[in-house]
Amino acid sequence: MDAINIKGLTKHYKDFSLENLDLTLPMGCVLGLVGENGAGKSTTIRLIMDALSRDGGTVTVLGVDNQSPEFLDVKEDIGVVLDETCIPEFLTAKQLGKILSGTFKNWDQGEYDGWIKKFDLPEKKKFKDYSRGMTMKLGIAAALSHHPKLLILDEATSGLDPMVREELLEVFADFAAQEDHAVLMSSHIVSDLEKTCDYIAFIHKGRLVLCEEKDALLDRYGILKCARSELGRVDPAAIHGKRVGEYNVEALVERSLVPAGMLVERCTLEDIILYLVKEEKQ
Amino acid sequence: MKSLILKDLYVADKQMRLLIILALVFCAAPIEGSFSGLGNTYAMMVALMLPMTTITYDERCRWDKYAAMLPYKPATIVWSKYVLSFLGTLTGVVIILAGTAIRAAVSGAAPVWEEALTTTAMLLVMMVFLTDLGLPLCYRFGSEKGRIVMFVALVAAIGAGVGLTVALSSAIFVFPSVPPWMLVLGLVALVVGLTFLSVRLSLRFYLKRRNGEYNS
Repeated sequence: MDAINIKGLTKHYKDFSLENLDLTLPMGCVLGLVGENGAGKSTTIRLIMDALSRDGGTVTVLGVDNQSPEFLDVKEDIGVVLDETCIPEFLTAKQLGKILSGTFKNWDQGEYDGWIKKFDLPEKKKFKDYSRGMTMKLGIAAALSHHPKLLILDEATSGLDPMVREELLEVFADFAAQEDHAVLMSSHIVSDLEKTCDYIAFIHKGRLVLCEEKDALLDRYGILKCARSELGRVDPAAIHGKRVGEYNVEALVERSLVPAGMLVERCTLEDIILYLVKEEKQ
Repeated sequence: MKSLILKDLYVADKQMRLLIILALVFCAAPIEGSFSGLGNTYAMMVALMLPMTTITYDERCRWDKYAAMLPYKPATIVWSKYVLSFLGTLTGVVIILAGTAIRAAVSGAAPVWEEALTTTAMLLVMMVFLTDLGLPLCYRFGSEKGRIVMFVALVAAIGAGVGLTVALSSAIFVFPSVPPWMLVLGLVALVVGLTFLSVRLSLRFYLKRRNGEYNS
């Protein structure tokens, strides 16, 4: 069973449209949703959770159509962390625990207390006095304490210092290590996704540019550095973006289509995204 | 729904506690003259401010965005505000009655229950009117504009209260054969009908707002 299966998902706003999105997150995997601010990542997440009505397509989460009445029960198995935690500022961690214990049938207070302790969060301090890192940690503690099968993270690591980001990425990786768990993680910090994800989906201006296994993606693409005149030897179909200098050129290429003898360096996920965006703009 | 109410009570806790104490003090104090109604005004403020305060805080922290991710039905989210308003009204009623009892106990005189009951009846009528009108407006226009409309509605509610009193007196006069319990039953049916209509409207506006169809 797929954790998330999206087909032809469409949502229109006055000034933005999410067009015909197809996405699959298999169980036991981490899918990274990457894109610029305003690309449609948060809209996609809200559509997955049926917090927004869609204009077309289908969304199935943990085997259930997200617009069916049964989806309310499925939400019991989903933990969500939003970019803004959206928790009232006068609440304390303890009070939030009490609220959520009445919200989720399978809430585990011991688990929640454990996370609060692990993250070193003050139980009685009001949420408004929390730092950004503490805020996100509280959101994550809340999202993990009802034993979810699917974790949805919307920019959960943005605005955090590298130490906290590393700590949280480890938590997500541990969660995803279990076969019956899955994680959908949206971020514009590509290095975080590269560390954690099995699959990468790249959304640009409301359209899905690519959705592939991360390792396959990194194997498929490479950076070709050569003289401008040499680039003519490469099949134009192999070139997915380039930076042209006065004499030299750097191009994102499909390794398999590059003639033998030309040196193609390994690229990062960030390289792929940046070149693809640049190419789209051109 | 219990957890949503609990959230709202936590959020409004500090402000409401102060307001409740003030209302109780003014209701119990032997104030005469033009300020004699101060306690009742505060009690009404308690009833009115509880749902309004929580809606404002919800908007400020974008709670609805988070709530939409949790296993709550949209109808439960909307109904919880009505129940909260009812709890606020109930608190106002208790304050007025407790204030009357304390004032009588302190002065040694018999409590004036007729006056207290009339005030609580007016409070109930006004709050039903304000809630049923105000909450759909808050969901439609947001709490800031909704609050302004709410205060306009407050003036209208006073008019409605007076009008209702006159209408009821006339009804008893014109239809002496209609027993008072039937009038009360009619009033309850009206209140229930209005509330259901109001909830349906609120739910419609809530879903449209959640869907980004309103700007504010």
